Amino acid sequence: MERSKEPYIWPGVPYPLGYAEASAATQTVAAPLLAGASLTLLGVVVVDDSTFRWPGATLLLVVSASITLIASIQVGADARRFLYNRQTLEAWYTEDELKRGPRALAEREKHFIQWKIRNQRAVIAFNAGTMLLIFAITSVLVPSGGDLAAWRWIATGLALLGALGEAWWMYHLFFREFRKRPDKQKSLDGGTK
Amino acid sequence: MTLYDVTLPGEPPVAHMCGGCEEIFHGIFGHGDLQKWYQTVERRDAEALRLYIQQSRAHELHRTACAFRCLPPAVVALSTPDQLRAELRKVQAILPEY
Repeated sequence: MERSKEPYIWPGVPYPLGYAEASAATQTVAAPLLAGASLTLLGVVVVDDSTFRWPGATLLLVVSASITLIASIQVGADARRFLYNRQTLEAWYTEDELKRGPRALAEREKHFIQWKIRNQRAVIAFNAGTMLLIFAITSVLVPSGGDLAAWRWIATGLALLGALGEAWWMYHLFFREFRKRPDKQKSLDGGTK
Repeated sequence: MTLYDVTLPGEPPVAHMCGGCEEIFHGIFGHGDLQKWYQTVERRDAEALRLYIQQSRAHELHRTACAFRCLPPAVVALSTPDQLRAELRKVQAILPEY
């Protein structure tokens, strides 16, 4: 059977449209702050390990969190190079030049896919780093005895609850099913014809 | 849901959109997924291709009238418009129902 015309394809865009901006904010604001906090915590544990129940395990968790969060900053910055919109192209090329089809225009879709792949890695690194940091904080809070033991156990429980909440939310974000919506079986014109 | 996805803790993963029907889906796909698809298409075995499409749950992803309803999520997520058209033509050559 002969097919008369090629199907139309929408250009690749982030969804929702503000996702890229939100993601960049996470990688340039939240991740550095959390990485800084991790490194500060690292200093505290290294200087005085006698007040912690498991100083070795805590150090391991803090170092892992720091590395993972720094990785998310770097991978996110690497990914961001591949995301640009029409305005960026118009800023660099004149209308005539754009009509001639510069390489950047031809590669836009390919670069958008590169951004998706690399940004996904940064997202995974950020989420893993956050989880490791929460576990590191939990480990720091576990008392090794003393007067504040009861309070520290309560704080440990709260931190663990936070970790569980965060873990559940991440699982929900990453492993949700395809959306099964009632309009799934409708035709592309919305079923109006 | 989208608002919560952005504001609650945990950075949401990148969402993918089918260029044909604009359906949104999530998932972590790699070049390995694409390679498996390319290998299956290259075999030109209609039954194997049909099974691959079914197992990839492509039909759950797309709208019924979408021209690209035969393409699995990984292919839709990691292909440029030109590549999508090329993959569609390959499938159409093997499976005339698409």
